Amino acid sequence: MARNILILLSGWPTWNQGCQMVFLRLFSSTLIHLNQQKSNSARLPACQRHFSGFIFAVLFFFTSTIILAQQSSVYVTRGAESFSMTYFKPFNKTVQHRLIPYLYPDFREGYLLFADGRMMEGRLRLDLHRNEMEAIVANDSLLVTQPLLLEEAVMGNQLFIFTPWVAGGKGQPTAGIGFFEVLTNRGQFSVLLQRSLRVNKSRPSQANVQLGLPYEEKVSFAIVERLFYQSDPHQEAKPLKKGHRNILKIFPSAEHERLKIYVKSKKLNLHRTKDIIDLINFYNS
Amino acid sequence: MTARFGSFILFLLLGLEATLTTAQQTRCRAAELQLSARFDTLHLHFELSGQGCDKAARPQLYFHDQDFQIYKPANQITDSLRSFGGGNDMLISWKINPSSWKTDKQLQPFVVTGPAKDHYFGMGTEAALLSLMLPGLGDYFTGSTARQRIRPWMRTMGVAAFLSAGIYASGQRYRTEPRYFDGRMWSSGEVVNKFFRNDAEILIGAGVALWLGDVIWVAIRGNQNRQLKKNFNTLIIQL
Repeated sequence: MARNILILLSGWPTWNQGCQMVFLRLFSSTLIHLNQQKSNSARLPACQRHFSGFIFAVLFFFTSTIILAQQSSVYVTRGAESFSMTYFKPFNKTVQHRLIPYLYPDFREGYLLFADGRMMEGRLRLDLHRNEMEAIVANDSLLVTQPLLLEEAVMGNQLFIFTPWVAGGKGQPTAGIGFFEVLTNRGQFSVLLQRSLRVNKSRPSQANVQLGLPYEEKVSFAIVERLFYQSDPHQEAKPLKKGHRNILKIFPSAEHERLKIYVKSKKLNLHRTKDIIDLINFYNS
Repeated sequence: MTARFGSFILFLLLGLEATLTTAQQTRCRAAELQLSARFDTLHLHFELSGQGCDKAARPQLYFHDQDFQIYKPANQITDSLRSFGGGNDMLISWKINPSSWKTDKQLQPFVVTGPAKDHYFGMGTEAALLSLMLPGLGDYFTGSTARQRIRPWMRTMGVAAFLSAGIYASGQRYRTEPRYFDGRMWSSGEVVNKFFRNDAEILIGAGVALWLGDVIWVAIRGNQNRQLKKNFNTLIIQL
């Protein structure tokens, strides 16, 4: 009995959300209707007085039918013992269906330009999970295995570079490497956007496997975006701190006055990414 | 007598903490680590400080990731900048190998100045016991405190200030005379606090919270040291 209740509870969140909403709406409206009927019951005929109860009964059967429709049965054998058991169907969308590790699911037109001047035109796709650039050039599918040799990769109208980054400053610095999207025009300074896929893979339920139920894997993920800047195309990227003072700090002090005048004239808010890009484009021009 | 003995112990412990601030300089260690990259090469600038640096073996660069897995970069080039700076400035360069460096790994450098087997990461979780004795004390044993924004002595002083203010407020709290009417108590006296309402409880609570926070902080750092030491002695991945 307890096991059946547990199965019922575990199956409950996998219900169709729409059915739940409809049921709740109907249930609440019926309760309101019942309340109104109660106050006027003396004046109404018997058939109308029992109408609300009838609606409630119909709704109850309707929902119990939905519950039954979610159920499936399976024949379980365990050693010499064998029995049939009923369970709720799990939400059985595949992991691949929910988790797309690419920036865009399809390949996009673009090119790869390497430091030695080689250029490959084709269709590109960025894998955020592995931080790899995949390409289809002519009829060959390629993977950029030496991304540090890559000068730039253009996918659609987006420009990507591969560079090391350093955070933390003096004392306890941290380093990493990866693909960044360049948000500014190419010049000395660049604002870079790093996208990484944070995947949290929960431990699969062992109980389901033992009971012969379908294997359900839960994966939650999020695309984490971080802004960086690069003061020289050949140097490391550093995390970008927003704000008037922090942004001005990244430029040479000789340029501060000129940039301050530009910020004032354009009424830029340096807490907004768009305005920071505008300022750096002005500096590069 | 007991109060005098208590203040003597407190002075002794504060003196011990002041000694430990300078005592961190005894071993030869790398400080002021600074990373930079140029093209495909990663550079680590650092200073060697402490005793025995002249006799120390060639400094070796290692990394650890978020999970405290240890990595050793291959083909690292060590260079001394002593002739330029006049101090013990050092530079280690390493040509990045993107095929072995997984892009989801964020690497934090550390430098081993002597023989690898003798490298000391700092005290383990047992340092939390020291912080339990005196707030901030355990921090000096778990690693460098030079780059901490809230220094351990600040925590010691903070806890001492909150607790002493709380104890003082508790001692200064009193109740006004009750009011009588017709020979019977009409209303009990009001509680008068020294600083603000429930001042003693709030101040002592803040002091205890700060103390416990320090103990937890030291325990976390100690646990990191323990994991680093364990991984350093078992598995080092070549980058």
